[in-house]
Amino acid sequence: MRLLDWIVLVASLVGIVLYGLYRARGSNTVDRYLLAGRTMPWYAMALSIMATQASAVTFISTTGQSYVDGMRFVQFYFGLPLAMVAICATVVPIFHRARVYTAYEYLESRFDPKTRALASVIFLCQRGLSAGLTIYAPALVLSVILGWPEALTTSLVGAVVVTYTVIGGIQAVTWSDVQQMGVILLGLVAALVTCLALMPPGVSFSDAVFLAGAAGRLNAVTTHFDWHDQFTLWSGLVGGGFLFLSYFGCDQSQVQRYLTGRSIAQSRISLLFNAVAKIPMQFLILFIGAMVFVFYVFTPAPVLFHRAELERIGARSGYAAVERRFEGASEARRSAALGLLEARRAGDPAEQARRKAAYRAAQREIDGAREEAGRLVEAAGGEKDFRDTNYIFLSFVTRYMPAGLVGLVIAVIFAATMSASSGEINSLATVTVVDLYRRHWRRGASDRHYVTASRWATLFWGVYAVLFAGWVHRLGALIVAVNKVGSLFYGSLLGCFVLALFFPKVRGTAAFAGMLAGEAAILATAQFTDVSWLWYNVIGCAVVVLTALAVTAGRPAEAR
Amino acid sequence: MEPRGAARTGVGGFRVIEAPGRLPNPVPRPCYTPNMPERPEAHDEPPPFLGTWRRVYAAVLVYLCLIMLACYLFTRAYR
Repeated sequence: MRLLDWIVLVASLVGIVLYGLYRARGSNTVDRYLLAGRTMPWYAMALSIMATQASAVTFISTTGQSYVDGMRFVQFYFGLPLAMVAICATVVPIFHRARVYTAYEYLESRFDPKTRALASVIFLCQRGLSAGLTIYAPALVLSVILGWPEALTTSLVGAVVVTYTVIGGIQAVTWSDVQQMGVILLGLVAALVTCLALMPPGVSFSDAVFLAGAAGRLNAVTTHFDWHDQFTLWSGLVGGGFLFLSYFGCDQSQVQRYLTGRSIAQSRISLLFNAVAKIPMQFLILFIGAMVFVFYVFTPAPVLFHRAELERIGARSGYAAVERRFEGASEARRSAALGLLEARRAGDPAEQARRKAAYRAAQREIDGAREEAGRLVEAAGGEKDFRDTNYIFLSFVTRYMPAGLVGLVIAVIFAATMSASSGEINSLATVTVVDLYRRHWRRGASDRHYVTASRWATLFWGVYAVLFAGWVHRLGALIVAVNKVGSLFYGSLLGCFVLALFFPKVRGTAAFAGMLAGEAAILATAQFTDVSWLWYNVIGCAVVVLTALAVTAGRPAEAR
Repeated sequence: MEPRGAARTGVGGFRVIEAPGRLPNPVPRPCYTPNMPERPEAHDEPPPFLGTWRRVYAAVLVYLCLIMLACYLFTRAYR
């Protein structure tokens, strides 16, 4: 990091926070503090939803994912427009007209207090776990890249987020998100342009796209069906659709965004904007990863992008052979790539096929060498199933991007972390105060009292997130499992809302039993099968509905 | 149109909101929110374009089909 990078980084972050606080003036009532007085325009909600959803891990991992596995991940978002249309047509008007603060408040009006309380507790468990991870994962990556201690990056992000969220409430969160989204988009475009500009002379944009495709990095759609494959057209449409239904329909961190809208129409437009904009945005991020892959076809890459782990295995026996294998294959890939481009320009299909086969064989050899290096990391006491996906893009940024742009991309990582974690902390505080504290402990207090309680709850969840982030590293390889934590809980929440909206005969006790059964089914599926996590929501939702219907059918009408 | 989710004042000054919309629960159950002014704008409004929400939803679904087709053609063109 050079001086210009520091100036860009600090100016971006300070500017975002100050602007958020400026727009949050007057957040002194519960309605304003938690729902911005329901005055938000659609574009602020839309960008806030996008920013909250785009955590730094998603951003860093997605580019790395594309480098390693291609663009298949984009299919995960194909279910999003379906989910958004369903949510706009059903829950948005219902939540608005009920004038609720939280999605779970509605469950009490439809079922009973215990169902509302169970849904609130499930949400707090799920979001509480991910709040720590949202801060920890990018802090870990930044600490490796910048050489800072993890505790410093975690505390820095946590302190900034907690400060503006406690002071400004949802308005500060939303308006900061708008700025953060701007920084994220600017950083993405800058990264793509720089990557293309760094390609060697004679390699055009068209050549780069062709080479990425020849290596299987532009596989945006895979139509085969496989329960165990995470990213196919079908898992994206069905599994992704259910996940997004749960996320935008039942997760307070998203519901709270569109409840701030000044009208039903404004909230609907903000969600439909996401339905339209999200897939191209993810496509762009994945495409950047594919271009970084092509960049490293012509530029020597390290065997592993995780510098500390590479240094750790550098002295071990066996590494020298892995390194030789990797370097030999890299050189073969570079020659094959140049030959392939020549054959393409010459219009010689036979030569093109031969060169492409050599190019792909060299790529398989490189993948094999990297896998071997990963096993050496494991053998040296490192993470089990080690993967360096999260370090690929930032390694490229810090080594090859010009001064100023490095600071901008690091600001993007911080901005994405702050936007995701501020939304989580704010929604955790809202559910704590509205669904638990005000409902079960302290009814009928003054508005001022609840604003103060909301600030304390925000502070509590912020400090909790930072402390949990500091402890999370002890989970080791379990971090990967905990990343799927949303899918472990969303299915039962979604099932409960489906019951509320579409099964009028079902009452509170049946819904409550259904949620417990759904949660048990999801945990059993995760523990005892290898079904991909994208299907957990479908399974959980189905079990909730079927169990509730069975309980309803088995009980006398007056006892329901 | 009759506003749904009608409210009355309940115990402790809380607003008691009856289950909104088409929910046919015969026993209205209360949920507790602080007193707030009614919002006349919480009625369905037409979208700013295409006339009805149904048409807007259809346009989004057509867009999804087109973008999936574009991704499929992109994959085929560069594999």
